[in-house]
Amino acid sequence: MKTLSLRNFVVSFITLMTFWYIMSGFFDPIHSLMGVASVAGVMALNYQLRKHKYFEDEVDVLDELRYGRLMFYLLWMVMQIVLSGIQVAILIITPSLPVRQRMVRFKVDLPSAHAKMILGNSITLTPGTLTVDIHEDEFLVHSIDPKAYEGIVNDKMPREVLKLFTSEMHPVVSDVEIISDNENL
Amino acid sequence: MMTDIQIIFTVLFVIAGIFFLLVGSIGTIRLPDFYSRTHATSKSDTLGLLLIIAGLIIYEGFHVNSLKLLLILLFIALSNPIGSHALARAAYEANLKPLFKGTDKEKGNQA
Repeated sequence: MKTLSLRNFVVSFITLMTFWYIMSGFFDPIHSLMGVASVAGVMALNYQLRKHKYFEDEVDVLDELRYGRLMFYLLWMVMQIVLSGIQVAILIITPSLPVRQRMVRFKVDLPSAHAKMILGNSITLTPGTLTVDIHEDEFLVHSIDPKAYEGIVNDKMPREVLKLFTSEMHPVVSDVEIISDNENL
Repeated sequence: MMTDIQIIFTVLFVIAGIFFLLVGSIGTIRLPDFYSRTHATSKSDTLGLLLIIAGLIIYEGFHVNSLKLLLILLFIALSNPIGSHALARAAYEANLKPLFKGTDKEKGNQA
């Protein structure tokens, strides 16, 4: 069990209320009142869920994120997605189909589970790489082409994720192991 | 004219989106094994869908509808990687090996 702060409630109320306004498109008092009622209902239903502690080092991700960095990260991410999307598209269209699949196993040094989640999602969202398994600090990533995992192995994307949480930089990726046959998998 | 520019950008984005959707479908047929097909279906399709929705947002302009489309875009971008990760992980746990170049087809897919 963890205690929820007042700020926590205010943030989720504002978020849900914004969601209500976007979805309904009405701004008059009657609809706003209905919105407040349903938001209260949702928050009451979610209270037990939010109070529950799922794992040991659970922290409020809203306190740790650096929001200025987040905007930059999202833009950078979109650019990465488009660039590697074009790479994969070229690979698929090429008549000889030069697929060279690799599994990449590496360890990361990130501050929290949320950071690992963001890194895992970013890897999967980037075309050409796919997070297969995350166990403790160990990532297993499937890649369709050696060009696709370059950005992970040379520590570029993991560092961007680290920058979201702290300004002190240290190498994130270690113990990179590139697997290209079934015996070592 | 403002609307002309809007329409030009909409058409560009939607055509790019359709292109990536098509590439995703072609990839599903052409690629050799489960893992690489996951790449084609989930990634190229996500990119295509995101581009199409981005085009529609430009078409709508500043409007409640474009905020709704933005929400769709956000949810796709959040849920798609989780879905494909779950698929790939299930395959990995079930001992499905990727088809590395040089391994023959029967051997490559066995445990």
